[in-house]
Amino acid sequence: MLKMMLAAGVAVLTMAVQTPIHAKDKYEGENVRIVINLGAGGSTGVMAQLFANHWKEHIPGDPNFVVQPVTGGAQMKGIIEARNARPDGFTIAWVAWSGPTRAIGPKSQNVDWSDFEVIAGVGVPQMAYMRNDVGDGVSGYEDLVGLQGVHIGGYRPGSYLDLTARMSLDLLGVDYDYTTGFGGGSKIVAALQRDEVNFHVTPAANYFGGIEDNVVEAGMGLPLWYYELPGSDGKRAQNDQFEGISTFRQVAETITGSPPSGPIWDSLQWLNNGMAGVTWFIGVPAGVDAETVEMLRTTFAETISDPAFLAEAVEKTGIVPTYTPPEAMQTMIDGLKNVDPAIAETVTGYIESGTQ
Amino acid sequence: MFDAFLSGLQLVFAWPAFGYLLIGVAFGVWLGAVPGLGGITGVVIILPFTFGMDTVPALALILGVFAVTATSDTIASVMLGIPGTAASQATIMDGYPMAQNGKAARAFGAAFTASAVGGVMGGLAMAASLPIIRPLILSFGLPEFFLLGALGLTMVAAVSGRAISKGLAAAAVGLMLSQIGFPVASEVPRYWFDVQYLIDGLPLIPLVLGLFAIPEMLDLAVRNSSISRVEQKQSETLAAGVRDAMRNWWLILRCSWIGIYIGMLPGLGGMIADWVAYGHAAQGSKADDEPEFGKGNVRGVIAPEAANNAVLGGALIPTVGLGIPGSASMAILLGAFMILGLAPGRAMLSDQLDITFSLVWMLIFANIIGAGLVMLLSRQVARLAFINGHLLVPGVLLFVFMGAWLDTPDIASWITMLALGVTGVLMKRGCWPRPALVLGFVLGPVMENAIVLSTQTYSLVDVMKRPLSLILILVLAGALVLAVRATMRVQKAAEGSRTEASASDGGLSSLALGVVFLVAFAAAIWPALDWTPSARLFPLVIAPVGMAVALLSIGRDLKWRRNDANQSASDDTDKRSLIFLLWLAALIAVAYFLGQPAALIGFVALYLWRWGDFRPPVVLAYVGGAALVLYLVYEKVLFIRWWDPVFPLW
Repeated sequence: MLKMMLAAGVAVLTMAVQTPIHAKDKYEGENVRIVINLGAGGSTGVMAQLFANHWKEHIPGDPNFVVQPVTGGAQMKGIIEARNARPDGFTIAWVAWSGPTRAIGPKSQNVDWSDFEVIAGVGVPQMAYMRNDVGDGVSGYEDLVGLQGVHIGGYRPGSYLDLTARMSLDLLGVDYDYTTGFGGGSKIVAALQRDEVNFHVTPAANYFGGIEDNVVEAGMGLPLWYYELPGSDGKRAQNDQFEGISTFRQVAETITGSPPSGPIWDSLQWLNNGMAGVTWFIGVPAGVDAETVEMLRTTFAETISDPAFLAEAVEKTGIVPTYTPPEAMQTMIDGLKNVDPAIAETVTGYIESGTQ
Repeated sequence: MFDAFLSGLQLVFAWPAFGYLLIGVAFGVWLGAVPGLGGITGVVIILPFTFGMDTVPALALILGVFAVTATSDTIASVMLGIPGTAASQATIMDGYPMAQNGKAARAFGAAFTASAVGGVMGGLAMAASLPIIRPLILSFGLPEFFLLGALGLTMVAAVSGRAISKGLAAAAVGLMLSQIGFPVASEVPRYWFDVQYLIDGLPLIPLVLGLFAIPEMLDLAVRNSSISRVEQKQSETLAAGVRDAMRNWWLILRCSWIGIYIGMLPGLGGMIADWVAYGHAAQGSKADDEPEFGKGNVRGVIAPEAANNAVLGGALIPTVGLGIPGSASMAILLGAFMILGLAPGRAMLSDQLDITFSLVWMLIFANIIGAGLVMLLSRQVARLAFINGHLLVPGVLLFVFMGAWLDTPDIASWITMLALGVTGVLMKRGCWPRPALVLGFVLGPVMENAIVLSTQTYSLVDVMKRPLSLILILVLAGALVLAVRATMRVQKAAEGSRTEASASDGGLSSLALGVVFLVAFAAAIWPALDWTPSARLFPLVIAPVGMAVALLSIGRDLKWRRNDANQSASDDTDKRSLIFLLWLAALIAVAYFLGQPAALIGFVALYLWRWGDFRPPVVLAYVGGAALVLYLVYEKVLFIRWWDPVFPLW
């Protein structure tokens, strides 16, 4: 958490932008719309709302933030809604971006991110957990070796969480069945509680926001590992909230006896960094004046390291979100135009083989 | 536990929680009464205001809104034949005919009493089920969801009356429309024609509003009359409706249980519960002096209203007890719980049990207060049935168009609504049961999800070993037998009576629809052949069945046309209907080019002046009110983004 706060602080300093004098006049008494492309009650809506409550205090004029869900179109409608909004700085996109899978997916799902001015990227690590009564019982990830009866519950064949789960078990050499199409995490949790599936990869916010209490603390399951994310300095970030839980890299090394490598691992890394590392893209429509963009970037960086926000995020969702500054986001967006063909082939192969 | 139950009561009465509950109830009543709005809209609006509030007052505000939308949504269903929310679709079956027969107040009395009892039952069920929550909910697996969906489909017979072949064909159309968009376990969208609007499927609200609101408003516009077709002095009172409800107390209790149970099951909810409850009532015996179901039988109002208010109590059980939200509204509530520092699941059943019980009390009080409030208003509202219909049409259409926009802010929503409106007009003229289409549309995803997930998880032998599956299979078989018997009874009664037989036929409109649906089903088969097995399963089952029942309907229509010489329709009515639909098309075109406010205000003004023949002062006052509503409600409260027109006026 300390590193992330430092990184955000550095980002604020490097921007070194004086808050424009007229920003107060511009935002005072105004409504700022945050468009999200998923439902209001999910982790996207909750995090956007939590963040907005603190962001408003950093913006001169203390504007009123309204989080507006625009759902549908395979999450495209919210993106289009924000992109088409007037470029006046009063509409901000906070959208589940799915950059990597959109980049290699069908044309209808491609997004030209240059239609936006990037404010930041915000990520939430993902993690795996399972029921503890599979086979002769599971008390730790070591019991996965040779275990029969593992059954993944998945969202859709192309979901990065499904892909992560399947690639992880393949890397560990664990046999599994796969049921996909649940669509939402809560439905998978319900199916897991009914013992219809028993293995699930989920955003950590969902795990700490309810699964830990209702599955693990209820004596039904156990956490297996989490997928570490690079910090904004490019190094692996320490995640205090995962204390006592191993990283997938450590688990793979322990079980297989060597560090993970190969096209599946590369693909898993690519998905993890690009999807979990940037769960949400935050931007404004292209055309917003430069002063406003810089002010939003600065205040965003201030807010993400604001102790009051971080404390509330941990209290309400159990996790500290990762921050990707605008320059790093831009690099990532540029990288999506040249995806390694081996990775693209591996990922599309998984999607095809998972389609029912 | 009893201490926590009483502590929950104290929490609700600790100021300012009860005050916020009242504010929530008042807001919820308004949201439910306006077609196209509803509890979800309300909670999205008030959620930001709950930050910084104490937990219990914030919950009181939110639950106050949620609890009563299912009560006040009856107003639009009964008065206008338009579902106030998705959960009050079945109420229009008998509620609107009651209003047309001058019995709006009686329908309100019955509906609001049933709603209050259903809501209270839901709250009590929630309290009673907390200790046994886990086995209660987890016993219901994927195969049972499919069977429950199939059980819901047997209600087609109940909503089809004498037109069973048309009912089945309409249900097949609904099922087929539900196939648009992404399938359950495949990444290739179906029937979307490269239109982004369709990639996630056809949205429910524009579909329902188009199917019901436009035909009813067209009728009012064309008939030049009020909603009621009898004089005001013949109208019946609120008290008569309350007595109806009290006489049918056993039906209310049964339907409340239906609502609670369906509410508990993730993925179903109010819009299915009301149909199942309606079907349950319609399949029961009917006294000789009662009107038929679909023609103003008060039991057809009582049953769905008891069920849809009980749903919330049921839906809160898995949300609070297991942290599993069963619907979009519960997902939002779960998010609100988290933001307010509550931990749905074990914590709300132990450390925070008093807060959990405070939810029970909030539900109980909100339902009673909400029902009382709408009863107070209903005397005035019921009078609307007797005023000049032209005064209602533009105002209702303004809310209907904005409701569709609010649900899916895309000009395609208005086009979809108009297309479904034209279909609805033809269905109404052709005596095709529109509720059957909605039933198919709502149940399609439930059944497809369950069957695709079940086949990946269970073998047939596994399913046959599940006691609950076996029980549901027996119930399904019983429901099918009842449906077939009821259909045969109705057909037999219609035989020999040409007047009655013709009531289930609809001349050229019916024939045209039959042919269009037949061609659409046939065309739907071809692209499905290339899809993955799970993606093509439903379309390839529905389309041939749809073709068969569409052919049956066509055959029946042709037979009637040969046998009946008196097929003359009113040319004037047809012409005026066509002009009305063209006006609506022009409204959309003007919105596209000049913006929505200009289109809606222009429509209101032109309609009142040219169609309604009102004097300029009335037109001006009405237009001023409409502009104020657009500005205050949609711009300032709901923060909608207006369509960016080609030639913006400001």
